[in-house]
Amino acid sequence: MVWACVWQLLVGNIAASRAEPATAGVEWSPDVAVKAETLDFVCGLEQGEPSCRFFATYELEPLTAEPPAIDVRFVGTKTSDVVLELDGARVTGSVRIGQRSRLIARGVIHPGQFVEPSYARSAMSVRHPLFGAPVHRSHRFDFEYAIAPIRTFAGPPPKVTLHVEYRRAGRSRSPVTTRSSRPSGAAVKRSWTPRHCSRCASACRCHRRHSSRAAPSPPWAG
Amino acid sequence: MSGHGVWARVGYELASPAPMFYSLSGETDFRRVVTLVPLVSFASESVLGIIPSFSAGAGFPIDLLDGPARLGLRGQLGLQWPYVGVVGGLDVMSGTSSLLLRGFVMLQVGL
Repeated sequence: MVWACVWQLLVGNIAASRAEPATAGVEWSPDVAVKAETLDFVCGLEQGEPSCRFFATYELEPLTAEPPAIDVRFVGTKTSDVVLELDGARVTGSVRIGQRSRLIARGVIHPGQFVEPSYARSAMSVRHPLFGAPVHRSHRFDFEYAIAPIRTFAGPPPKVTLHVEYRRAGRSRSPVTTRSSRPSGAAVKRSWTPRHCSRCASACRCHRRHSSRAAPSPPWAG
Repeated sequence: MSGHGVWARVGYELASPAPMFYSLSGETDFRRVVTLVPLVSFASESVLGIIPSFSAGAGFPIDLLDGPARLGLRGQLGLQWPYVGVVGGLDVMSGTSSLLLRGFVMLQVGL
């Protein structure tokens, strides 16, 4: 029995604070600049199902002398256990930020799962349609995480660091993807497809290193 | 080689890894021969259950009851659709004085 599997992580964009209020989009708090953004994803199997824990850190800096108030919220699909923290304290709704505040959003992303279409039927299922052992078909797991569009952040484009880690079953840590970039106005969109996943029986052991640049693991990745 | 007759067989098979099948079957002509056949075969995938799964295998038939036990070689080809299939092959059996050739074509039901 062969269970080929593909993990895929998509990073898209949604609207957030804007530098130019006159342009279209969601407008709130142009008085706050995002100096840096760090996104950490640690993916693995939990109770047989793949999932990713995310940890998004935003370094915020007010552009006005008066500490501005901002609305903080997280928008995502198939996420759970999302917590927002500003300088270490849990927050919801409208908050005031100080100098060099750190906003953190963390939670769990659950995947969409699709069976790869195929015309082929295994010899086992054809020879023994009633009593044959169940045959696993190839699956693909898509993870989607939406981040604020970098071009709409107030202030100069921030430094964005993205780190994706996939843990092989039974191993404590094995990073597969690390990206660090400074976008120049365009929306960030990256897609990774760790392949090399054949003969995954009880647990997928997909592993592919996409970048040689090492990145520190998030503090909560035990 | 001479004569012909009706045979029947029943068997069980395991697969690991999936394309490789290991089977043990018992065959009889209902008169004087019972044959045990351990066999290894390779089977292809089917397309939509319409284009059949092709298989090829080899094994060692052992004739029982008909005098001293005889060991032979078997080559076997098969076509299998869901539930039904066709199997054909040739046995080369060792004898006391000469080799015995035995060809066969069988309908097969897979559950």
